[in-house]
Amino acid sequence: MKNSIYYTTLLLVTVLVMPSCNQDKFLDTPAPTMSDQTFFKDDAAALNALAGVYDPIAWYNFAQLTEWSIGDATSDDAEKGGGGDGDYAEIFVLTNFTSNAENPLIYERWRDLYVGINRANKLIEGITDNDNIESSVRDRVIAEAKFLRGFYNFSLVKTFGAIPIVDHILSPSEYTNPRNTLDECWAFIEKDFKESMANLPKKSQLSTAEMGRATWGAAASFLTKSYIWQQKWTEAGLLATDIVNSGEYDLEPNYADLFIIDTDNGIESVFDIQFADLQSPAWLNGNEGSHLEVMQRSRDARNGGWGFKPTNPGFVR
Amino acid sequence: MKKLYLGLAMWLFVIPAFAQDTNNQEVSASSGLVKGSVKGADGEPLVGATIIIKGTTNGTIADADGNFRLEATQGDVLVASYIGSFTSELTYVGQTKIDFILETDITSLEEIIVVGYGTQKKADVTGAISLVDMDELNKRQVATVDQALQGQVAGVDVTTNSGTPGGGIMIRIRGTGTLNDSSPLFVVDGLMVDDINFINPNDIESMQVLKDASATAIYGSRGSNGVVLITTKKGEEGSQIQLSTYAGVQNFWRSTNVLDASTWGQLRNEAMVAAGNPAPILSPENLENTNWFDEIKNENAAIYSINLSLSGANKKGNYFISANKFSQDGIIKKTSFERLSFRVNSSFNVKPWLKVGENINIAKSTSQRGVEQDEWTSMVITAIAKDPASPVRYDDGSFAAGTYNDTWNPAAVIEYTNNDDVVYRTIGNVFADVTLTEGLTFRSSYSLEYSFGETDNYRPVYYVSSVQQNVISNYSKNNSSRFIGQWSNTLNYKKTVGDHAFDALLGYETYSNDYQYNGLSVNDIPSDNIDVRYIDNATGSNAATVWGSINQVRQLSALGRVNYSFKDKYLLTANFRADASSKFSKKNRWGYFPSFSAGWRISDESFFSSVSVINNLKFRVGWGLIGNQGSVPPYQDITTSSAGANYLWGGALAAGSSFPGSGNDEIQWETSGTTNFGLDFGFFEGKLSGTAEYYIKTTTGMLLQVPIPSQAGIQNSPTLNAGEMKNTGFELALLYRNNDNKLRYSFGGNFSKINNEVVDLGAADAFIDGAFFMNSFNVTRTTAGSPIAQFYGYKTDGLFQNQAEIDAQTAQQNVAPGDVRYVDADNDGELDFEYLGSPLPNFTYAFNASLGYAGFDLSVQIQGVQGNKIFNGTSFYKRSSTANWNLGRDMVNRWTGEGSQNDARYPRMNAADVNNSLMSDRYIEDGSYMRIKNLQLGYNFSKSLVSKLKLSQLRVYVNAQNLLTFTKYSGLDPEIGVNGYSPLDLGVDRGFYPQARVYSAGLTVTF
Repeated sequence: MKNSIYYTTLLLVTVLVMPSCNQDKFLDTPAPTMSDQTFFKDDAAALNALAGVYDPIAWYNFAQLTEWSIGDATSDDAEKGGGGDGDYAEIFVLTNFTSNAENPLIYERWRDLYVGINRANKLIEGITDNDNIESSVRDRVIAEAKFLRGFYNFSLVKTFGAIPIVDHILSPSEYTNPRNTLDECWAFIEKDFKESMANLPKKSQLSTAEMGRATWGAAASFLTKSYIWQQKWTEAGLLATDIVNSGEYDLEPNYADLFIIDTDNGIESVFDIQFADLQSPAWLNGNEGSHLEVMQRSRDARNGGWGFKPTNPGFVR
Repeated sequence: MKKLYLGLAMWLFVIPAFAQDTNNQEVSASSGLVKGSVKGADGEPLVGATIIIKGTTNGTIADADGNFRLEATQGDVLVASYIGSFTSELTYVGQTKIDFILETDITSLEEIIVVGYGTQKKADVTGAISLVDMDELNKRQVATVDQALQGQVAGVDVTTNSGTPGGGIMIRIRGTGTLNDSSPLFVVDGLMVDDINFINPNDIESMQVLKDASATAIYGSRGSNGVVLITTKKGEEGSQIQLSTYAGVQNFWRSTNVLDASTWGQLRNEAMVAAGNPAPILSPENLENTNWFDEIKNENAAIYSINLSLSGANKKGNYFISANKFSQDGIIKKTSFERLSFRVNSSFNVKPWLKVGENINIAKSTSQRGVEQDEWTSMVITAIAKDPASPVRYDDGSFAAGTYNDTWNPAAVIEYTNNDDVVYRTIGNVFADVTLTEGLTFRSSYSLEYSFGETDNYRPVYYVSSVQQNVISNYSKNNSSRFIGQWSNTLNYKKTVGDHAFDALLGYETYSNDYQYNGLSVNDIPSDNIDVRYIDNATGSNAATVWGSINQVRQLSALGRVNYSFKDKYLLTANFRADASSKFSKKNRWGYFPSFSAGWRISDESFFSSVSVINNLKFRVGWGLIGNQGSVPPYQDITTSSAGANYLWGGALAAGSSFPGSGNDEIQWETSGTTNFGLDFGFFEGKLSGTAEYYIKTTTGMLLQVPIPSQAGIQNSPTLNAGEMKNTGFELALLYRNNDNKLRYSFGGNFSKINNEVVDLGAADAFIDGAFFMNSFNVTRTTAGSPIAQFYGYKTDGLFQNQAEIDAQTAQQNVAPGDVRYVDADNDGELDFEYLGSPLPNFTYAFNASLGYAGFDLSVQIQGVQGNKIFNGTSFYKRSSTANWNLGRDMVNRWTGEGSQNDARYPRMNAADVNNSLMSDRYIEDGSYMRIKNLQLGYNFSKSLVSKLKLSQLRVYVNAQNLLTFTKYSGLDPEIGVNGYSPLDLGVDRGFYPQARVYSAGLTVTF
């Protein structure tokens, strides 16, 4: 019996004392990833996040699909193509204007472009006044993020008209903000392009390793396009003249050379979305290749493509 | 090897023909010494069973071998009884030996059942706890324990997620309680685990299902979806060796029912002509037919199991040792599952006050999986959709591309798919039971699980067609390891003072779960030879893609329970558990989960003693709150970066990162409250018994990733506590059992009805869509005020019969007579999506019957669901107007002219169709089914023969699984769960791997 009492006491002490030992130490499990609080610690991190802001412009849903399915196929420039009307019927209904709101193409374009905007905002908020990053790097990275934000907004407005302007990381109460007016949208786009022009390098200043990153010429050109969309002919004319006179660009002597690999990012290129042929299939998002090569290739057995987006003869003439 | 087992099984059938019942009844003196034995239905001696002469107090007790001796006079009736078994009576007519076999009585109220961190007498239970009848279960052949649960317990729905060997199972206890994962918690010998696939079904001693909050509250944070408690076998008095084995063959029970080449050719021509093209096939009647279904089928796929166990016990301790090999080939080529497992359970009485022991299970599972649940390329889909006029191979032996369409060649899919999976798993615990003083015991148990899994995937270089090709060989390896440690300490005090009985439990528990995964992928393995399939041989090994991370979860808990009963009639139970989870931020870590329940044994009241028909009547009521966080991944409270958001700068890959989510440190425990009313009853001396339950379960603060407006730009919706779901349900379980030594029979059944409603989703008009089908449409939508995941699309209204009908409406353009007409409910000239039915059944049910006469026993299990809908993804191909793919045989009934057909399922042929393939009720079918899940006929050889062979039991049986299925569903199998997709994709058939029909034979020998 004495033994029992001894053991009881011992066990009760164990039972009662053990749980109170440093609960938080036991329960704290650090996340195996960087949090947004610790991420922006140096120049490399800023550039890493910047590549993330570029990423969506090469995404399947945007550059490889909705640009032509919403942009070209619904116009007289091209047809849907593919294997009959039922092959990608979501595009077919766009081309004859019978699509309803459930069409995923429309939604995906909206969604993916806003992902790019969110990434730009996250980067701008993360490095503005952040002294971990060298100021010259900081200025250029912010300028590029603003250019890309302008580009994403420009692409949205082209398709949807007025949109809700998102110029910062939204709090849950702001998720349902209504659309701004079209004028406000254009003003915001112009502002981003103008601010980015100030800190972006000229194309001639890019090193080979930087080819594909935004330049003064790219921002100026998209600003020009924005003026044209608003029929601000005077501003467009003046800025376009500046771009032409900058000496940064010219036409390829031979038009056909535009389509060969040697002229990639060549003299006629102002801003190219960069695609790779790194792996096969190169066109998965992670592989940074373009799906268009197989989609647009002719459908016959020799070419093995899918035959989408055949150009109308009228467009070429 | 497999042939050997088949041969062995066949040989077994011959034996019964020679065996004769030699249970002779020699008559001797009018009175004398009767010798006999008392054994259970499984042949185990029932030590301590009492045998008395009816109407007297003369009696004796069976010894360690179950034997007894008793003086009796001819004409005396001997009554044998044993706790937890039916009593049995035999008349002494001068036999030299009287052998009793007592069937286990699961309805016995004296039975001690496991209730979580302890045990309780069944009569005293106040929560909703169902016992699985292990005798019934032993008469079923199942690969995994979860399959064994199917149809056994009211309110427990078991659906196979895939018929592939070793495939997953979806278990729902009282339906879908949350938009999160609704899988129950499994507790094996005290350890909380996520699945029970690794357990050898032969090792299970008992299974209990805890259904309501008052029963599961002791598992607080993990118990909201119900708990399945599994206890593995212990050695029993004496020693025993048992060998059991079976072998069988499996086949598809249904065919794909698609057209032959010439009929398809005619319809294809018709479709092309309708689209304004020339007929592409000149003479369809001369087309050579390819049966693609035959190309994927593995006929008479083998299945076998061998199980050997040794067990025993004495005063010092007990042991149970088992080894099992289970092997199953799939009914689709290149799919298989094999499990090798060992178990050692033992305990030792070290001191009068100390008992220590361990349960250890080691298992190795290997499986091969094919392409499944993918509406484009899964084997089932391609075997249906591939046109029957294309050959399998060209004359040179290479796989043929489609002649008429580019659906993947299914034979090539099988040839080029190499998925091999292996999982090593060790699960076990060590425990000590200390008796401190009379009634006060302490138990400490440390349980652990270590598992290591590896998946190999190899894709050789091949070219079948432009859409089915691989230009560079690729080999990838994924491995993952998991370590779970759980330390439970409980103090238990039992005391009875007069009419008052107390049973109190206090404890705490720590739980940690560390998961790690790594993978790599290399290109360019120089040969397809499996012997050189190693990373080092890849010419591209310097450019391997690698990935890996970890995932840690910790949980700290305190728990307590008090049971109080007064005169064994009035019963009260209170549970309390507090849990802290590492998944929540510091301020929201702790959740507190109480429950209370009460029971009233009405039949024990004195006013009831005159009612002899009713021998048991108990009313129960309970309420409790339970937490849930199970399926929420950790680290949701912070915003984390994610690599892989890459781009190209200067032609080289620029590594990029993004913040795809948005952390929310406000998230906390999801809680569900359940109120439960139950009635347990037994009539006619327990021959008819049953349980009825009614419950209301409301889950609030569901941890959801509520989709947020996409202009926020957040790819992974943040986790919020939002929304509310309500389930009300009714369950009934009945069992009628009669026990006579000659004819034994029992009939059981259960029924469950659940009404599910998503009460709230956080915002007024919020909805959650299920996954895409064919990149074209969402199949389901979940909104407040309706059951979860209803099908969502257009409603059809027959077919346009003529141009006048088309001209009379404006909602559909580009249509011609024979096309599907959709309903424009609000008449605004635009088509509207509508809800097209729910994948949840109106009710589910099961029947079990067993019959025994002399040495024979027959048992049957029938199981069914009623009133659910299924989205038949295969119909998207089989009923396509384009005839681009092969069509279902019923498409010969297509619309061919005005009045020929008005069923929207069978529109005209038109290769350019875009109208008829929209998401609509054309693809929604009645998913009700009733299935003869299992049928078994067995024979127990007579004792005299068995003892001559120095055995204690010998049983042979034949078994059929999925013998018959009654359903209107036109797909390959109506029993579909969810596979790899979220619970919102319930009832979406993307080409499920169907269940096999299995015929087998088996043998059990006990030494």
